[in-house]
Amino acid sequence: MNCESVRESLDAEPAARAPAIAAHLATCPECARHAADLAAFDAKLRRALEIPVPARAPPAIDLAPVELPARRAGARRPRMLGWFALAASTLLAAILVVAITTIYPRQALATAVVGHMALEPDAWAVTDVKVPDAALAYVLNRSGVRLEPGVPQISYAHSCWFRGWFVPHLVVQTTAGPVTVMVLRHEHVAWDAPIDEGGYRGVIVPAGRGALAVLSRGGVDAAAIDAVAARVAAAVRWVD
Amino acid sequence: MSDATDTARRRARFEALCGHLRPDLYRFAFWLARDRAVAEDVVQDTLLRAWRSLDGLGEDAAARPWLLTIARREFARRFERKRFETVDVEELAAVEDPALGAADAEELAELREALFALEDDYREPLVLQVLMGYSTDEIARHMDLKPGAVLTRLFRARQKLRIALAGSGEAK
Repeated sequence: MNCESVRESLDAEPAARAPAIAAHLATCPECARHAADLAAFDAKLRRALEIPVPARAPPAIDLAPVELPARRAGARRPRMLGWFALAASTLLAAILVVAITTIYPRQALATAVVGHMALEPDAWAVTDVKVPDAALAYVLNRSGVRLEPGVPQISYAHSCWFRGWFVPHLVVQTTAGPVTVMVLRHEHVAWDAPIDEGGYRGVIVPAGRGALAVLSRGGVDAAAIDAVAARVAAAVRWVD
Repeated sequence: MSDATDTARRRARFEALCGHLRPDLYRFAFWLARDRAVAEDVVQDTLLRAWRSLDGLGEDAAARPWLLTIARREFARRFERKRFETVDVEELAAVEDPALGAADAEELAELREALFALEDDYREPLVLQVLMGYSTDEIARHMDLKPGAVLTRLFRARQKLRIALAGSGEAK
């Protein structure tokens, strides 16, 4: 194969390594460089295509509608049963409202946080290199957040678009492994909400007028996650 | 066995097979439609149709291509029903970009703009190859094309993207 045909093949299938292509690349530095450039381009392309996926919406369709038996013509319900049904319906509606307004938003937030994690695999690197102070300050300032001293070993700081706002996405290195913290100024939770989905474990905790989503994957235990959550919650300040 | 148990089992199988594929499905639909609202509708319609025809799915391993094929048909059906107006790509990129999250890197934003501008015939095989990890033969089956035609489209797609990116670089 000559250089032109190798490059045409690679442009269509950058990962293809048929024996003839592999043999050519082994002896042609220019084509090998072209192959490396293509691999880098495709990695960028993949990142561009990996758009954030909105949090799972509540099912708008009933997947298995149950057919109700037809009501007999002329049948009448006893009056007391009607009142009982009305009371039961009201109670059920109240329970549903409470469930929807408390459980669903938290679940949706947890799912969105987990969905976001999958977009930033780089954040999970184990490292002892701290993120530069200037980079951390930029990410925090952009979202109106300040951190008091007391959160050691932040190895990653990125300003991420999340549910309509730029939020700081930080990674704290612990002895058990990296723990991710999303500082969510515009999210509100009344109490701690555990996360356990998609291979991630963690917790969403209230923090002043906002919330923190703290999670990890793999071998980091709940105690380490809670410890990071407590330290960041104590250090975070919302700047007006 | 009761109907309720059957339905519960069917629902559990459906969730197990399709639940984790929702991100792929959404991204595929988004890059077909280049519109978030349409993508969400296509995902919804696809899942509904998949639920109805779940018994027709042979091996569980085939769930992903099966779903993407349904999504493609659902999008085509939607396109037949309503002819989309011609869109201004720059306007589209500007509208969509704030929702695209990781697009804070300038070069990613430029790349997305170039992807928005790419003709459907080139964008779809590229999405299938780069994002879904499809082989050339799998793309050929999915798009009902010959493998040679797929390779030509993939080659041209990358060529067009590079030209578009070089153009946007020169424009600065």
